Amino acid sequence: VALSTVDADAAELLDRAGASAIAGDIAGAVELYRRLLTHDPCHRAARRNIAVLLIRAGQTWDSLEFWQGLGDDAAVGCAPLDEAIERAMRSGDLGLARELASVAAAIRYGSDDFPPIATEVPALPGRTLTPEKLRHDAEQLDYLGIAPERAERYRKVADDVERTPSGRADLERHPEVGDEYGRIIHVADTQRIDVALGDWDGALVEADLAAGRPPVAVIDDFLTEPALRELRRFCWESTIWNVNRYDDGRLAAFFSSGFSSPLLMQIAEELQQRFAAVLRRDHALRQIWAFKYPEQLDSTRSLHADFAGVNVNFWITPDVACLDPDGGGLTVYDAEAPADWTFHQYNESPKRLADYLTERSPERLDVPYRSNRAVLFVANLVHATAPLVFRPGYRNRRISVTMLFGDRHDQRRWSR
Amino acid sequence: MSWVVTLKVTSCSGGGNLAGAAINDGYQFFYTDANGQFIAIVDDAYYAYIVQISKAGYTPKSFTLHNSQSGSIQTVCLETATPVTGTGTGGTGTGISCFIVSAATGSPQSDEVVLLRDLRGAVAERSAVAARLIDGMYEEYSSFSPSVADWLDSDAAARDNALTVVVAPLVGWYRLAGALALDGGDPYAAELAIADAELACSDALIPWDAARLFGQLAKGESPPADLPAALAGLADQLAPGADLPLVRWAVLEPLGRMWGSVVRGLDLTDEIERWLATAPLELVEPPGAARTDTELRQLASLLDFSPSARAELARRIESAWPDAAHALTSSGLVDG
Repeated sequence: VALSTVDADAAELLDRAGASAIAGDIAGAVELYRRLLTHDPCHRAARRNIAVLLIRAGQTWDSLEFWQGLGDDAAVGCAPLDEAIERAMRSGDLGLARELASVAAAIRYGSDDFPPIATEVPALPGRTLTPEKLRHDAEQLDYLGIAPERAERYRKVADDVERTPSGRADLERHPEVGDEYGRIIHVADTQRIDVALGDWDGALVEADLAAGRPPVAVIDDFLTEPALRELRRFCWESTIWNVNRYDDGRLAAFFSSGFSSPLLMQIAEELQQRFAAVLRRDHALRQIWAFKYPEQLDSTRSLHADFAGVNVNFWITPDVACLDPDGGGLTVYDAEAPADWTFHQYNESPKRLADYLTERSPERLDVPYRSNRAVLFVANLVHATAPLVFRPGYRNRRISVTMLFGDRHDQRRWSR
Repeated sequence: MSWVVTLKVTSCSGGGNLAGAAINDGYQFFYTDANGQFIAIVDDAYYAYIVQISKAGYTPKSFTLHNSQSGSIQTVCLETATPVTGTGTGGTGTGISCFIVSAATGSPQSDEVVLLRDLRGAVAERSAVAARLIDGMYEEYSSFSPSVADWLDSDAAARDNALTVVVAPLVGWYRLAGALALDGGDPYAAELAIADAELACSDALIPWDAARLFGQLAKGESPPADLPAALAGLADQLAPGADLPLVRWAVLEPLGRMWGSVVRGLDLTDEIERWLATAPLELVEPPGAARTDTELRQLASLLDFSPSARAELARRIESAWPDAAHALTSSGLVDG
């Protein structure tokens, strides 16, 4: 009898909470869902509903604990949150997608300083030390003018790790590095501005894409000066470069690991408006990421294709950093990865792709590096970062930003 | 190497250029530009390429691109589609496209379109009254849905929203209604359909707003003013449907009830019973005297699973079709 009463109460609370939310009474709905959770702490729908409603009400960080309660292991990822991010992106609600991505980044890489509320700092098992990341982080701390002792420790450990046979080590083996390593401690505030995209004609670029062989279009002066300046500041200041799994030394920041800001959302939205016939009509935003590169890179290790329909790739490091005016950019081959290849085959198997290109001998287009240059192309075309030589120095690190739109199976809609 | 043909798609009546016409090569969809043109670049491996050209409100047409046409402009005109109007003979309505579902799913042959079409056919075959109701609904539907389909064609995010907020729940709703009305004795079919219907709404981020939107439209009211961006465009497009009583009942009310059920944890079977009990039969031509008993008997057979819906519908028939009242008991709509 007692169980039935609880169930009846739960059903009534769910009904009343839903009715409140439908009526627009978000605070009332959240309160009722909370009461439902006290009845049934495992009620996933109530937990998720509170999380979404709080974000909708502008209380993003208050939603954190409810998303955490839905997730499994922060190191693996919070699947319900990732699904919500994808849903928001596909529906074109990039503002909501960004809020969700910020929460995901806090769950995955949070610290005492991020998010800006008192919350439990997540355990982050499995952090890997690489010399490239340690040195990058030391340079970034210098740039930010904070924690000089920590920067010094990072440099010393980088030298130690470099001498190991594998060139990498687990954080647990070097506790002197400290628990701040691999966490977000600062995110630069970069808000929306008047206009983010430069003064170029989207229709002409779309015509280039349709006629090009391979279908590639190049846009110089891609961003307005204020947008470029702000995006550089975001990349230089934000301690979001925590994905260091690449053996060529690249560091990555993905949308749900910290590479999100109102300005980035504005760039994506303006791209969809500017490319009404290609992006807005056929391709929703699917992913955003950025890479920071070491001073030199061998291109054969970065051959890959991407999972989306259209790839918009742009570079923001000042031109003075690039020591090879004919290189340092992107090579795109007139060959698409076979449609039946798996993600691992077309994205993570450069040797396989090199063999594939050797068999086909396709034409290739080399786009030299220029600051504020964008390259648009069918994401399934095999492509690679060109060999690069950049000057040493923190702000000289090559930074590329990628925005992926649409689905891989739709990629040729506009190119045939 | 490739060969290139410019395809120009026009309307056969008037000759105007058709922007946004879909060109399907069996693998993917392309669309004509603002001038009604599409540049087909075909690999030399093909000497001919067959495409299907379609646009909401027009009858689709096949066209063969041939390498001998390389460098030329080929003009293809599409005839305006003639909506099939109700005949009340059962199985009607199949000539009318599900414009919105086709546009949202990307194909007039998608699983969702086929499911709704088959269900429509099955219900119409079982009941002449239901067939007339369906025909009337599609007549109203075709008056505003082609423009919604055109809007969906032009915006990927809008299509995704329509899929999530309209198509998936509506298909889930009708799948369950079909399982209850057509397979009334099969609880397993109903259970599966309930699971499908709930799954259709499970990952939405704006279920409360969807419930509010469709709840208001189903009552013939304007959309709420404070909807999130992802729903606002859809609300504008669907708002004309709120003035169409059969569309309100067949499209907007199921969506309102579906989203309301998801949000409030209500029983979907109960919701479908309540919905069927409010079928606007007063808007449908009553059966002739000679067919009254037969047609009411057919109708009652669709409601075997719900005595309460049967009784409510009988009460409404008594008021809407006084001449048919004598057959309510013999048909089984009212328990004897």
